[in-house]
Amino acid sequence: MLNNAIALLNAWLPPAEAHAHCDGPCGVYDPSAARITAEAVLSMTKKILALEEPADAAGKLAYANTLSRYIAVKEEQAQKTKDDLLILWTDYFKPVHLDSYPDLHDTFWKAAKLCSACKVEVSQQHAEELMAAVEKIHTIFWATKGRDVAWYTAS
Amino acid sequence: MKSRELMTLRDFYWFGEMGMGNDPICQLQQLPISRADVGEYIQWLRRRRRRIIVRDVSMLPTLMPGDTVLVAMGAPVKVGDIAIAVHPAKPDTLIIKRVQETFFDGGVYLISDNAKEPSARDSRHFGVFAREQIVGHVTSRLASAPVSNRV
Repeated sequence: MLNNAIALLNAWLPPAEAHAHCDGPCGVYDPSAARITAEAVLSMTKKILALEEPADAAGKLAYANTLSRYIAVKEEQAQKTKDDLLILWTDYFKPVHLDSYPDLHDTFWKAAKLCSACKVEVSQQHAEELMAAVEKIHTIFWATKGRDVAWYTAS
Repeated sequence: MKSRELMTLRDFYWFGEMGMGNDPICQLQQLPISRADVGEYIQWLRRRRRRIIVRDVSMLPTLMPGDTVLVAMGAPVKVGDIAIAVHPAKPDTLIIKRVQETFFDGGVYLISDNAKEPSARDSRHFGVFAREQIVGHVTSRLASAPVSNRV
């Protein structure tokens, strides 16, 4: 009853606000962004490896075009993966998390290196290792939030 | 273990008085805020208290977003109080935090009850608050957040 009266008063004469302050602007972090781009890297790598060069001139042109596009997308997505991982590493994770995950820095460093490797090379092995690294980060991330979020992939 | 005589003031709060282990984040007893009694309502009517509404989640579980509290403005704060302070970077924003430590010059070290929330921002990031930045402390809870607001 009193609660309702105060709620009415608050609506009528809004009180000053005090913020139990949290990081801005949104504080929304989710490793799934890195997961989607890492999947795209793996997918593009597989497509590049499966691409065969035809013999005729028209075919060669189409091949060169397709290959260039696959490479461009792979490099772009590898860079995005790296950007997303670095945001999680430097903005979300805090020194307190190192107590529970002493290998956190090493995990992120290796994952970022894998992004670079996938960008430079056409290596299915490294693309798969990148997915494994993102999965590991996914597991750590949701454990720090105290939530059990299952790992899944779109493809 | 150092002897009590050699402990600094901070060690005393961390390991001695509070006795809550070595975790630097959970040394303070997070005392709940009692509901406003008749005396508090009278103080409010006499304009000795201000009504303030809580936003955001860094004071969980003590205070929910949407809780309305009464605040004694200008009164000195002590360790364990929940203080209202001016945000160091945004002078028109008030923040609400627990007093972990007070200093001889009136400076105050403020920490979030929900300090494990990685986005919580307090003296670990802002440093010690000057006396002038502290505007008051919570004396009672006037109303709890509507159930729909709760997280």
